[in-house]
Amino acid sequence: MRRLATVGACLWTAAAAIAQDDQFERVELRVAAQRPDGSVIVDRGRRDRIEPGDKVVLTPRNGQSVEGTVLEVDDRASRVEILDRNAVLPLGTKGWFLLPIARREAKPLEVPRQPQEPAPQPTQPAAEEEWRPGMPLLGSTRPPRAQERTQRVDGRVYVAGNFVRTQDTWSHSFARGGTDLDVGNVDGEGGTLHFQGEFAWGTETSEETDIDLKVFDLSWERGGDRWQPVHWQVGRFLPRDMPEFGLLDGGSVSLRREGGDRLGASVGWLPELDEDMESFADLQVAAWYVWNADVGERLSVALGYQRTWHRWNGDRDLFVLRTRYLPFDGWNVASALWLDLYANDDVLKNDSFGVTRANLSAGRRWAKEGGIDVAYDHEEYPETLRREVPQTIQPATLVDAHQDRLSLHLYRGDATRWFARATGWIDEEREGGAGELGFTIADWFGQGSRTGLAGFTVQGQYSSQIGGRVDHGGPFAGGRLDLIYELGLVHQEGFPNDRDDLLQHRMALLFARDIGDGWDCLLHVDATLWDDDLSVGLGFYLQRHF
Amino acid sequence: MRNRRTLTIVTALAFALGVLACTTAAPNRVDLHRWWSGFGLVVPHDSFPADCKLCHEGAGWDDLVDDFRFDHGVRTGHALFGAHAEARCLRCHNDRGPVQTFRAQGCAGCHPDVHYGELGKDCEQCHDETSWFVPNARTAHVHSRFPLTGAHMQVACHRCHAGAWVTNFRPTDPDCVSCHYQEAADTTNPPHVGLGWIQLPCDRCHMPTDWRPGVVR
Repeated sequence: MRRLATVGACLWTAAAAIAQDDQFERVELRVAAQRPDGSVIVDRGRRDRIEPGDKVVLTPRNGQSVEGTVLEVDDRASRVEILDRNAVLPLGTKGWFLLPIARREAKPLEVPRQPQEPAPQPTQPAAEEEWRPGMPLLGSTRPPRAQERTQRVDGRVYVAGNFVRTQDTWSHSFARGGTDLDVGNVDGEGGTLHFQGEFAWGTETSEETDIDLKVFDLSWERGGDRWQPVHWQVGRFLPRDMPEFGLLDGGSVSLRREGGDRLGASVGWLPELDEDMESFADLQVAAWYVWNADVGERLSVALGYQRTWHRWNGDRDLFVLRTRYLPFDGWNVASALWLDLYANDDVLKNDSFGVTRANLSAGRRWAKEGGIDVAYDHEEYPETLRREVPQTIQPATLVDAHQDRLSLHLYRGDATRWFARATGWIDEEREGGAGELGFTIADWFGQGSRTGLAGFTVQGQYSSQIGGRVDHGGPFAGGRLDLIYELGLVHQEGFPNDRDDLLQHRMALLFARDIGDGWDCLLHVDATLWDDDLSVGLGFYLQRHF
Repeated sequence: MRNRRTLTIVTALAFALGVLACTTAAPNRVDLHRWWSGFGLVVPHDSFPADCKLCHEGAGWDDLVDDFRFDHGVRTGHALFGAHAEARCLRCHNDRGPVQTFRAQGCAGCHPDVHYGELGKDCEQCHDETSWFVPNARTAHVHSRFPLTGAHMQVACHRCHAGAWVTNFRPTDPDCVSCHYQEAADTTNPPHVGLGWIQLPCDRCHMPTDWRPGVVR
């Protein structure tokens, strides 16, 4: 009997698969409860347009296919009579039924309501929500709040080094070691302590070699989750909603409204974003509003304003506008714009405004078929008392310097993937660009490997280049090994001597392996041979995450 | 004196990191998905099999069977790779809300934009899911206005982008003197600054292949 039922279900499945393309839509369901009479309750009901008499196929984990018929329909559930009374159908068993397209396209159903019935009032959750007989086993369990959880530590510690011998110096070597920790509910009140910092040794742009302690995050955070709409954070941190304003030594507070909109403000000092990270010279206040079309935040617009003072002198009025559109099936679009307002006390850019930075990207991907990415980027120097870049920018450069860059990336295929990348740029003096064309092949030299070949041509500001690159990556010694060889013929634009052309070889090796017990390691070697000079870099990265 | 201080700091740092790395409780492969005590039901169980013993054992809900495996790809339709496959459940499934909301936003849904929004939203141009290390930084430079050639190919990022230590890659002026002014000023034979050569394009005489001896035409 069981075999007969299984065969029948299989035939029904095959027929359904043939017919469903144009006449039916397959609707997934699950077993939600069992009845003593052998029937089961499934989690689809009148709202899903299931009707008495519909056939249901259930597929328990033992590989069986069990057929049933809908007997009764409720608003969100249905009772299904199972033909094979001996079938074992645990709660959660998957299944499906075929919904006729014509029924789906019919007028939306009205859920019958009693007109005299008062609207259900929200009820306060009971103080005691422990499981009681008759309650679903898991469905109504009260999730614990942040302050009710045990204290936990997540994060990583790492050490890394890069030792470079180039020409006659080791001065491009550096080493760093640090940690990135989140301590949850450290205070018993649901707050989280963040710390991210490292010791770094290396030669700085000032040519001094020293060890610096760099602290990226040392902050206390509360709220901003599903239980607490108010979020605040104090210490040194990167503001969650407005990273465009930079690291902050201070505090921020924001309120999450229904629908996902967020309103926030911050006050504090801006550390220098360089190797020394000195702080307390630039005071800032900022405010922002993040509008989201829905809680999924697939369409989001953020507007922020930041006012800064450099050593108590008014410095910068900055507006940031950020947008993002992430449709389920379509072009993903993101943009950000930094707009500086200048006043009379700005000597070079007085009484005007400038788009200090802007970027716009749009991309679309088709699974296993390919994709396209387009990006535009604009940058120029703002006139600020605060030092935004480490170099000394001459006044004429500050006024005129800008760069606009447009890039296009196309790729097609999955196992064998062709790609093309083109970039064009223009600045206050010159223009140039690069083009690259190549392909990669999966599993050519072993399972899990990918091998690629590409050719490129470049017109840079001071040099042009034509070259090719071959790369291969795949499983090796319990990890993954990647190899790159690149050959370029470089022509130096401004050098008129006959030594202005040179061949440049570059070889790189990268090996990454998960050692186990939370340890990861990565080794890399990079060698460049040009003319008659050779430079070699050896690097490692060792990390333990917990 | 300075070397001794440096050595002391480095030794102390290495010791502290070693102690932290070796003593912090880290879950092993099974424990990575362990439902630690007190975490609560952030991951919805309503679609799980009713037979709790498939995953749980013992008297407490935080004890999982030794051979516990959760195939995220099969169970949820979203396979995990690299570091994501080794992360604890609660790194993604947590009090911020339904993980689908954040996953739909790509990397930015969970990871803060440590580049201050200035490098766009397509993280995969440089990063993969294995680690934050950027293996193709030199290759990607081909598409900038300053393709790396000669000695610049091996220069540490932070020597030109001082903010690279703190993931700040704000534009660097590509003029030679922006980085090499001090070297030009220190050169006395011939005196570059005194002769006014500092105003001239450096590549009239030099190439980025062998700076220090100087390739003079």
